[in-house]
Amino acid sequence: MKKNDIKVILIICICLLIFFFIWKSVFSSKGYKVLISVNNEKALCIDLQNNCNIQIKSDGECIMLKDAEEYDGTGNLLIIENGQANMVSADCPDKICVGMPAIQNTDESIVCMPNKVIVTVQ
Amino acid sequence: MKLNSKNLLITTLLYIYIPVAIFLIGFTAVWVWIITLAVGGYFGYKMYTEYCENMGDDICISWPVFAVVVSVIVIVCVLIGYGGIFPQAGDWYKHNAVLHDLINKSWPVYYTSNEESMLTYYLGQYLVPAIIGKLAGNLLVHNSNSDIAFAVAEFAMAAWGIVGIVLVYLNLARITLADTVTKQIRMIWIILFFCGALPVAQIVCNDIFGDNMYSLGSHHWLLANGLMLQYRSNLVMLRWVYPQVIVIWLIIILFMENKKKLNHYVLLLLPILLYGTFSIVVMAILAVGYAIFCLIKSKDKLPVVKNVLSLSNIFVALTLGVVLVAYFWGYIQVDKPDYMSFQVIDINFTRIVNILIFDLFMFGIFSICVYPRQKKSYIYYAVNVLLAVIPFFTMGIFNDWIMGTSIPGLFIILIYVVDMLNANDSLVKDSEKSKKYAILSSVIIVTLLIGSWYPLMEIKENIVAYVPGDNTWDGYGSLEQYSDRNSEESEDLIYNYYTYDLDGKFFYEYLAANKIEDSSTSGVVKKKKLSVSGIYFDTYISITSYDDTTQEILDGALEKCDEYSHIFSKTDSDSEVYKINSRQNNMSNEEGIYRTEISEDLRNVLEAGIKYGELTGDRFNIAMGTVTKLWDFQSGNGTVPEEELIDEALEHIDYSCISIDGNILEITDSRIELDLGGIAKGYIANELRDYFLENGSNSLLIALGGNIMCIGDKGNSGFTVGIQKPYGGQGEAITSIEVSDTSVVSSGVYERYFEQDGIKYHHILNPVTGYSANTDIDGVSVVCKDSMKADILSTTLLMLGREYGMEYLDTINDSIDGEPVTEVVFVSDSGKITYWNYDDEEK
Repeated sequence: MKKNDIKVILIICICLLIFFFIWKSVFSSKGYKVLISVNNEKALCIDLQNNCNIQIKSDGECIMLKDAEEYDGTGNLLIIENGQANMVSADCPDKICVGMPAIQNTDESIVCMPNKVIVTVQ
Repeated sequence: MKLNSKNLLITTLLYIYIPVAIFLIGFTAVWVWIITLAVGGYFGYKMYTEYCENMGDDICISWPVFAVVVSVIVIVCVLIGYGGIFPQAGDWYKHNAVLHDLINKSWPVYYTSNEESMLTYYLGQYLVPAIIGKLAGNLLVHNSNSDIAFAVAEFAMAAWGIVGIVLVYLNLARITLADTVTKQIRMIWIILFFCGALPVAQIVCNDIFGDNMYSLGSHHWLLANGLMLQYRSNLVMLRWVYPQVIVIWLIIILFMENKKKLNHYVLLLLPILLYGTFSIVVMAILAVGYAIFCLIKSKDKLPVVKNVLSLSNIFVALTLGVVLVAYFWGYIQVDKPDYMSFQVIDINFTRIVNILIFDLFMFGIFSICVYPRQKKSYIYYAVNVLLAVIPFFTMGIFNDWIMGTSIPGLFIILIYVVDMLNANDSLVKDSEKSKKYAILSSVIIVTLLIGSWYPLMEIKENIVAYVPGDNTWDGYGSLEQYSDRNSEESEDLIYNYYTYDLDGKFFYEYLAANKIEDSSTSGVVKKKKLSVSGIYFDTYISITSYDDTTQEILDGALEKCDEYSHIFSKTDSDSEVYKINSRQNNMSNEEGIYRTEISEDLRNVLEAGIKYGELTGDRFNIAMGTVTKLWDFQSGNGTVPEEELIDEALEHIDYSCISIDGNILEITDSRIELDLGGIAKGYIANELRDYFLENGSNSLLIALGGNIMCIGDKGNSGFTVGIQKPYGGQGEAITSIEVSDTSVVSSGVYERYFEQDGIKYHHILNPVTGYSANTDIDGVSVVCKDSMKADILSTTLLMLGREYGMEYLDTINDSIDGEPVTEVVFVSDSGKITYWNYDDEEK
């Protein structure tokens, strides 16, 4: 092995170390998912890192709203923001789901009994 | 400006290999990418030093020319949609969707909402912009999913593409010795607009085959006779599919310059796989062919063989080669519809003539003109043969095959064309050779000018389509929605982006950075506890397994819950209880006696309900339906019913008029209604426990609303069950108890209630008064292995209050057979907690 080769190997090792730390910082997000089910059927599974406004209809259809303002008052409105899912509005009579705190950890859930909507973090 | 060849080579190599490194680090396990990068880095350095020895002289490009070249590239790129300023071509829906998914999702990108799958696509060109987007999102707004992250990535995508095109230009200038201003300016025109004389081909075909078969003016392709003939112009490629061409062009330039370095073929060509499968197949054919050509030509065969079987080729193939092929394998070998597979087209005379005309005008004229300079080159012949035969085959849908496979061949022809024109410029005038070259070069220039027509139209089309505002083609958002082979969407969407059936796939099982259900990126597969949930009979049910209970067993439990909801639900019009309660319409005889056959489950519950009614001194009543339906505790805006209504309803709650004989239920009161709210959940909890025990599960937590059933324990500790703080927040515990292998049922006046005139009315109704039962306790939790017993007693104790309740508990365990109540927790209206314990009482 030439002197040059050893230099190259050293440089590669240093690069790998640098890569390793970049990798740690970029890819260490937790990657939780939010599972939405309506009427005991899976309606949507979405990354908790996905900032979005989801209108959950009673037939299980989930509509991605560009803006929470677009919510027309039917079904439930779930907002996923900053790694938390929160039910901000609903057309159910008791509004218990809207009062539930935002969820972010595995197995936490928001339940809307009248609309049969369950939102769980997996 | 003197272009330093070595620096240019380093930059080019980094441009090619940085995305490969990002792919490895992001998508594969730590040990995989460390080994692969170490091997690749070492041999990459070797390759670099060997390529340096082979390089020609540095060339000079003046700053003004360079500025013009870069400006032209930037302007053209912006006009054809880079950065979303001008309208983007149709294919950008997928470019943008891939970019979105790479930014928003953790890597490897998995799709779970439809069919589970992994994003498998030519990601090379997207990776650097995606990383920049991820970082920008995380740094600026602490969330990689934001408009800002995408905007940054979109800008980076445009910039990264433009840098690549500039590198293509500089490398081409270097290897073709473009040392004068004319050559340098002409070359940027050729790189951006290179195309055969398509309009002439269309005129000729129309002449031969008649009118209307080839619309002159449709610059997209030559399409007739069932053929899909399209060799794209460079501009069309840069406008529609630039992620699949720029790096491939760079690699082809390095390959053409260093084709004698057989020992680095694998390392040089493998990255193409991240940019297109068709291209790597073609380049592999050319490379293998060239190696065989060398072997035949050389007298001493051994050095050639040694070169092919070099350490670099072997080690890189075993590391990077295995990883990349494994990544794409599940995508290549998936069962696709037959018409998408590799096929020879049906050949007839018209078609052959048609293809020959196409061949002649798209690349044939160029090939003939460069012949004097390339006649001894193996690659020259190989490329012409390949380009000529490609139209006879088909694979995939649309014109994917013909366009994908022609990318390398057409670019090699482009290199020959530039080389020919530059050589012509450098010749001493008036020699025999120079006259011939001058004629051939003129033919080339004329052909290129004709060929530029459609690319220019393409740019015009885009400028005309411009509308102010954002022109990003973002219709898809994410590719999540199309990962479903059963969907009605076109095969283009269903098959082009995903690896399905991940279990058992080598990349997924052994190489991937993490698996679909494993959220962390540690690369170590963690066992995750399974859980299921659902809403049945107005109750939120969740079941969590702490052992190796399978998903099927858990799903089976939910199915049982569904069955029970068809028996016990008061609101489901198909349920047994509903039918019994609405029996007035179909009384079986005139005396008002109702008889019906009932299921075993309902019989069990009714019998237990009648028995406990007696044991609790009628405080527990399964026939309170007429009273409970007067009260509305659900909607949040209930009011107190009128007194007469309640008094009248109270006359029809005597459960003694319900009798059961075998599986026949007999009811003598025509108005009495069942309400099994205080008992059914307990019964179901018991049944679910038996179901799980039968299936061999022994560590589970079942929650049916306030009814908790623990099977076994958590392994090293019991289950901690929180006792809800009355009127506290959701899940706010006032205390907790640790239990195993038993059931805990909590009832509380705070669960469902409304307030009227300052008085709280809750859902625990006293059968004597018909109003909410008011005592000194707000909540009670009963621990008993028999969940049905606990369920009934928790309601009863709420009505009795703490003092009478404790007294009652002391006697009840002796008077009722079966499992004893082991512990009770009273929470008084002042928040005071009192425990009652069976064992203590024994002493």
